[in-house]
Amino acid sequence: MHSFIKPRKKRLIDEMSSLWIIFIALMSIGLVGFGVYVNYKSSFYIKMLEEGEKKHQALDKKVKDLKSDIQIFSMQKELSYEVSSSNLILKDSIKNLFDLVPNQVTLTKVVMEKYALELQGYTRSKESYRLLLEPPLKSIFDESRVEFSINKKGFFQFISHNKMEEK
Amino acid sequence: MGLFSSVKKHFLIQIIGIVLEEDKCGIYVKKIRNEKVIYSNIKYFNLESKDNLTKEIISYINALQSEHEQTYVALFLNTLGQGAICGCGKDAFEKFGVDSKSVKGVCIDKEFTIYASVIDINWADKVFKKVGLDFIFSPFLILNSYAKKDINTNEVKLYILNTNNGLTMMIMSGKKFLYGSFFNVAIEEDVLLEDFESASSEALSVDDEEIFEELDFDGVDDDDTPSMSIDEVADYEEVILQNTLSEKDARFVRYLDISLKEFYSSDNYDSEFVSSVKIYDCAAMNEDVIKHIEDELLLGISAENINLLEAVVEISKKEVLSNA
Amino acid sequence: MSKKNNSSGAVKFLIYILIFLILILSFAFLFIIPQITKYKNAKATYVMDSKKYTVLLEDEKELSKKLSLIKEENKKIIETFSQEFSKEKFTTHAKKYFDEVKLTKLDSDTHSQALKTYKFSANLKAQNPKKFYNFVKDLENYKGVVKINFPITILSKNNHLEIKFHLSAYSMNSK
Repeated sequence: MHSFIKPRKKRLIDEMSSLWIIFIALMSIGLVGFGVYVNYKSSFYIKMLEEGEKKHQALDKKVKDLKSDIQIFSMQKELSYEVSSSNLILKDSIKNLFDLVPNQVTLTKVVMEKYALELQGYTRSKESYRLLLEPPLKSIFDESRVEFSINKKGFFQFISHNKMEEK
Repeated sequence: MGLFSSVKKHFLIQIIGIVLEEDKCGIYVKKIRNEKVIYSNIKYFNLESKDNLTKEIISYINALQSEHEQTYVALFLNTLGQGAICGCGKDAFEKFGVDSKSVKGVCIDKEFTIYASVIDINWADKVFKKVGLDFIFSPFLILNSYAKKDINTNEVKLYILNTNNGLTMMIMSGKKFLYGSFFNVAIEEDVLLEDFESASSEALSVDDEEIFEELDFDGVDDDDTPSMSIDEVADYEEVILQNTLSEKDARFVRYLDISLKEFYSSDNYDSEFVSSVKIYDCAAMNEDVIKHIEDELLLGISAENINLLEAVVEISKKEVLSNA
Repeated sequence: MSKKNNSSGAVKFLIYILIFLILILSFAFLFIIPQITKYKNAKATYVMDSKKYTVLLEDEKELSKKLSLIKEENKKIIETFSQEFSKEKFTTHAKKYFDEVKLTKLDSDTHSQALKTYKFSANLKAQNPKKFYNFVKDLENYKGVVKINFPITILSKNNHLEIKFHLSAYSMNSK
């Protein structure tokens, strides 16, 4: 220091500029900080979403399984009813048929269809058939026709075709 | 700090060097960026009194200061009561009889001290109150900076800085400081010069107070050189009458003589024989004076013209860039 | 840095305002607004997903209830279905009613997703129709789902009835 007095303190940047620079710097930091904060919050949601994804998928699968189970059981129920009712109808048909057949008629072959019935047998007289068997048949079935033939022993063999309307 | 100062250099540094004289004020402005001078301008303003800066000067300097933050205002101090002594510290002041409480000293190269009166420094601050000052440089500093550049191995040389009204002397042996003194050639300093027969009354129109003040600072009291023999006085008389030098120039010669005598005779100084003289002139020195000194001292004299304002600015620049 | 007097001070001021505005606007549009949009989207997606999940949870609860209800209601049926159909077991069962039981597997079993279907042709010899009737009647209680398919052919032979039909047996794939 060769001077008798010390020099005055000097700023590098004039007051206005330094104020502006500080202001702009603070604003920038504020904005960047805000942006980072918002980014952090959205990352939070994204992370939550990802974590929830697993649970969500598991639940999805569970619901799917439940639905399929329910469907299966429903199907079982339906099938069961169908089988039951079909068997029931069959049972009733058998009962009806054999109740139907009088002693005078002897059956040799029965072919039961859902909506048809074929009877083969023999009887002593046509009238036995016509009086005893035919009317109930006619009442049950919509169509009923019969063919007769005489066998060796002198009995009337008949083949009866019966049909009813399909429902 | 290294980084900071290297950054600072890229900013513009403005240096305003000021030299105040009785009737005018010289202002040298230099703008430097990246160590390149991008602008320089010298302007002279008229002054009514050295104690007051005119509004013109103040507004000029302040306008410059408002342009750049890094502006340094440097003043060349040419008041009386300045000096240079060997050594540094309180002991040095004591040795040379300088009141350390009333001066401000600056130790140069840990070798010698240049000092100025506190009153004068405060005066400078006051004068530049409305402007502000960053540096106040002693003429010895300026002279020293030139002397250092003078390639000179072990020669004992007397360096003189001749400014307007100011005579600064330094005797160096090689680079070593031996002696320094400062005189105002516009004022009669030496009390013993009352005896002296002077042609002009101007020379003697000096406040008594000033004389006594000057005496205190110079420390010439230490030895018995103040009292000159009548013979010596007569010598001077003769010299002046013979050569019809102006009062100023006459004083110049006289002070030079006194200083040399002091140097040779006083125990305080390591007196070695001066082999040559170098004058740095910024006040259009009279050739006759030079010739006179040559004849008187029988020494070889070389003179160089310098620009004081430039010197002040250069030293300021060094201060600013080195300290950062 | 240079600080000029008022006229160019105003220019400097304007320049600073310009820099400020450019900075603010670029931050706003290039950074802030995209971030906010990202946030809004993320939040909206999350909220929606959350809602969906809640709905699913509700669904699951309901379906669960429904399932247990069905399971309760159809306990018997489910039990019946869970029985793996065994030709041997059924033959043994049928032998209670018929003198001769012959079950022949028909083509390949069809297995849909959960249902196993076995088709057989049955050739039975019974003493009298009553046995057949009982057989059919008791099918209701048989530990298995067996359906007798039409057509059913009953032939009267020497002292027995020869009954022929196809039957379908069903069982569930156990999970």
